[in-house]
Amino acid sequence: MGTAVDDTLWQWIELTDYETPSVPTTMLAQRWWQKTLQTLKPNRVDVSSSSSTESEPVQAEFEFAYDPLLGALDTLLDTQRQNDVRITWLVLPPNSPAWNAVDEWTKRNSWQQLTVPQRDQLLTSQPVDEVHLPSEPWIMTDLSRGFIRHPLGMRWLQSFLKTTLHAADAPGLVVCGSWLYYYLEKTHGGLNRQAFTLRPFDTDHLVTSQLAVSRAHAKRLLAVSEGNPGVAAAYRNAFPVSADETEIVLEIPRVPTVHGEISTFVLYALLLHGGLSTFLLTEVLKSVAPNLIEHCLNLLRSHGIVSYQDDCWKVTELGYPAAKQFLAQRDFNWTPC
Amino acid sequence: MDTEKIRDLFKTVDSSAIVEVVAIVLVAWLIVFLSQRLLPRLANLFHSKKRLYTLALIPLIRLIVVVIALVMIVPIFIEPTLQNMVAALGALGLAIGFAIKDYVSSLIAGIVAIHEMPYRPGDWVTIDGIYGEVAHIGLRTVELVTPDDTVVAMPHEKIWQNAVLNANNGGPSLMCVAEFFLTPESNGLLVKEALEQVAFTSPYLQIHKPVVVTVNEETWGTRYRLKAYPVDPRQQFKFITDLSLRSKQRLLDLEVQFAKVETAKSH
Repeated sequence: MGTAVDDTLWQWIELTDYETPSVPTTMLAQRWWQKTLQTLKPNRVDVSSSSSTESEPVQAEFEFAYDPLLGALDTLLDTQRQNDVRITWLVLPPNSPAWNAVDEWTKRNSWQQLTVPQRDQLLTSQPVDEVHLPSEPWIMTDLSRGFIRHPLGMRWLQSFLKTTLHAADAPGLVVCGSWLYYYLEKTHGGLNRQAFTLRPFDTDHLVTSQLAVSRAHAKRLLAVSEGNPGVAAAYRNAFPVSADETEIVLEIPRVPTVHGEISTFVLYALLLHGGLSTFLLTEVLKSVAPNLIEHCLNLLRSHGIVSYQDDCWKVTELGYPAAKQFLAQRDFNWTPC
Repeated sequence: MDTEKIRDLFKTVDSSAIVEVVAIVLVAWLIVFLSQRLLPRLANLFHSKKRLYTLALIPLIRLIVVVIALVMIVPIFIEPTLQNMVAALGALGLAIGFAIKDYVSSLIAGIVAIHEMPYRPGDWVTIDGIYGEVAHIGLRTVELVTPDDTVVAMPHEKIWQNAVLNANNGGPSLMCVAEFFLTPESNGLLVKEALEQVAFTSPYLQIHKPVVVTVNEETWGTRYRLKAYPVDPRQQFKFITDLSLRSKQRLLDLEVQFAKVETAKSH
């Protein structure tokens, strides 16, 4: 069901202008209390209970209509062209609807997709091909595909960064996960790229887009999603409520603290790479025993924080807020976006 | 005459005064005891700055409680006039000078340590050649836990004459150094880049802090020092191990020759 109706909802803003929307104080207090309970009683299984989860679904699944978002992307690229900016960087947080929108945009436009070596190949000692930008418009749909956080796994990405630092012949679009962008910015002495991201949804946007059925619902969605419409949609679909419902409780999965340090490494690695296979995860976390990684992954999966599909571990949409909070509590290289 | 004067300093103490003093001491002891038991547990649930700040509260709370208790107890025994206080302090000074000088020196150094903070709980310090994490700051001693899990009780008075080397100084930033000794023929730029890559890809790395490789030419070859910060100071040994092992593997892959050094002293 396509429900997003307002074209002004989707706006690309400069990454430096990104601000997490302010969450109502009552929501913050509630979240703080839940966090404190989790800290003091780390073995608690249920953080809260919701009657609404047991009731019959009262609304249809929410799906984004991508046309307005694609229109906003076209407008951004037109502006960039007018300003003679050749390469445009889009920085997207995990689970943002913009990932799907970019895929759709790529299908509709004939920009050449840059080929990236397979991740497994990046780990071999064979030399990695130099990056050559084509003379026609090109797109890099997910920069993390050409990167593994391993001494051998950064060669292609470094070549790419070096090449794109100079003026390109043709316009290019680079799509990069927010965790990777932040990591590169810190480890490569500042990327100095003019990057754009989607403006986060505040309470009004959540109501206008019909993601939230009421303002009370919007406040709760905002508190868990921090303005990420993809996460808000996931919570909307997982915990359906009716417009007249006042007692709205959204159950956030809890990151188990059993393997605190390993969970931190695993979650960060998954967010940084946008998902990894078991083999690659053990390569990235060489200093951790593979059986501990596997045990940690299974534990995280049983708590709904990560999912496993097609030999790829990923942080789930519902688990993302908890994972982000878990890393933030440990000051672990987290990104606000 | 002197005995009479000293006797005049003190009030007549009845049973109710003794009960009052016992009650004050008990309450003070209970508060200190609870703060020393509960705050470390609470701190260990936190991470990074929150943990260190919570741990730093313990000696502060104890100092405040002891001072308040003394302020409440002294007037029960002594009429708090200027003359009496001077006389009492004089007698106390005499006793300290002869009998318990070292003990009181440590007590005073403990108070100075709380004020000047050369070390706080959670800090990684070297005192008198011993390196360890400050686990507890007592009235007379500071307890260090060494990397080999040995508890060392160090009198506070060490701060009067010894240098205190504090590696993280109350914060979560603690620099770690991994050293490599290579032959002078090795390609320095290649090695530097490889070592940086290893640090950037360590899961322990605090990415907000810089990664630096320094190079020194020695008579026996070239010394490379890889300097970086872990997310948590408690991860320092794991971090250095991770840097050392993976760097060594990477350097072997690059066919870099390691120098044979009898002894190496860091600077």
